[in-house]
Amino acid sequence: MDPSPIIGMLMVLVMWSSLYKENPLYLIGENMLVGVSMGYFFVIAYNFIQTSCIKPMIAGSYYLVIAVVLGLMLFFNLHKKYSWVSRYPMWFIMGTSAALAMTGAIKAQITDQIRATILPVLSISSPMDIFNSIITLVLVIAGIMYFIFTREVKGPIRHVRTVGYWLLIITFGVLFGSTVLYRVDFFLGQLNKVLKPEIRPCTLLSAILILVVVKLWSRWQEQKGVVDE
Amino acid sequence: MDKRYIYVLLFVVGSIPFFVPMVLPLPITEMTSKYNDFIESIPDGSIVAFNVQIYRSTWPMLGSGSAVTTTRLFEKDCRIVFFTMSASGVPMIDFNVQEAFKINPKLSDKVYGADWVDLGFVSGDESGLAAFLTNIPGVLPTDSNGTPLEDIPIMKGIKTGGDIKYVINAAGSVSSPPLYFQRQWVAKYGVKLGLIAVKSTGPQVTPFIEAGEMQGALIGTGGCAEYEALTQKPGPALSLTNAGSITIIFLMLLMVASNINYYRGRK
Repeated sequence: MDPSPIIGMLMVLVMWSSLYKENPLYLIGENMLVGVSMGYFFVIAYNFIQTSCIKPMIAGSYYLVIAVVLGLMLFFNLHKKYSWVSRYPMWFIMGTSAALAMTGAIKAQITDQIRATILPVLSISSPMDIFNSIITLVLVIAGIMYFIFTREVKGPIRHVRTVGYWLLIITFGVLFGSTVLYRVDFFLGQLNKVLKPEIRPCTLLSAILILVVVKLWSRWQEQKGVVDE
Repeated sequence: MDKRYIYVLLFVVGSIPFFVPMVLPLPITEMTSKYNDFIESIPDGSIVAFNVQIYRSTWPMLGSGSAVTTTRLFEKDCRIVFFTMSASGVPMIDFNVQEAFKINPKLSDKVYGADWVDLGFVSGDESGLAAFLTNIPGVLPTDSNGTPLEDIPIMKGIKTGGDIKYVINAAGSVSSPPLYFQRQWVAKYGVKLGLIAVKSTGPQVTPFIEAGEMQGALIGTGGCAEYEALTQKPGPALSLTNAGSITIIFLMLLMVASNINYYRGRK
């Protein structure tokens, strides 16, 4: 029998037990998560460096030594006196990442988006599509207008800014709403994991045991006079 | 009121659909419909790149979308090059394939190396992806089992990101949608991209789908459930969506109740 669904269920229940009160089971679960994750990531990173860097370097790709040295320089951040050394690889990472992002972003996030905003208005399609495209174009302009700070906005144009302001508020509302929905999805995903029909009796028993442990711990803390922060 | 009562109520309400099967209406959104059209438009036998960046924690939400997509691609005799941009995704590649074989057991005769390959972890996010697409065998000389890429039949002739025309990005990223696939793969190589992502990324990817830069997306459990319904492969996402609908109604009722309580308190 595969024990992983039961281990997974136990870990989820242990983490949820903190909703009642912080307790030693939760702390054990938390530390296990951090410890196991760190160990796992270390092994994956080590294998990646081994496959993509060390082996090709031994095979003759000597230029990869630059990457190794830059990577090692990052560890100087741990030393107070020589932490400045780590700034050089950090600049390299930042510079490369920014340059790479910019080259693709100009097409993907700027020109193609502008084209997609303007072209549907100009192209002949159904009246509803044209109406939607005009609404999109007007709202995009209003949204951009909100960020014009170079001079004081007066006259009728300030109404366009007001539209832009409300557009931003609605957008933030949508983003926040979708974040809440994501959390609900996440919660239900874990609930589905612990309520799988094949482990339901085990879940019930574990939940009762965990609750008893938390309750006893809580009572013991109260007797000792420990007050929750 | 002690907030722990709310937690208990939330657990009870969220659990109902797992104990009492129910069928709630599930309209198909445009994003999912476009995603389905994209998958169906991929010519049979094509090579598809598949980033399995779903973690154990996000698998219950997005896993069915990923597994059903894999099943559908295998049914179309597509050959799939799996990789992951996240260290947490490494074990999920094989898990995803096994789930696809469970959905359609006839597919279990698919041969590793000829029909699919697991390239493993590509480190470095955007810079890593850019390097990977410039020189695939240079960044990953072997697959996840240590077999050199030149010995893997499916990888013959695949040297850069432009050698693969179709990409699926199953990204369980929480903070932001992985727009670097858009920047590094779609913008530079002109490939067609489909996305499987968590709910919070929905509003952020909509402009890309509207602009045709992304072919379609399965957003959250709802999107995966719609795709299960469209492909007639019912799975866990459908029951999760019912639970989601009931939980959200309950949360909305709580919001209304607490607002009424607040205004009554002010008077």
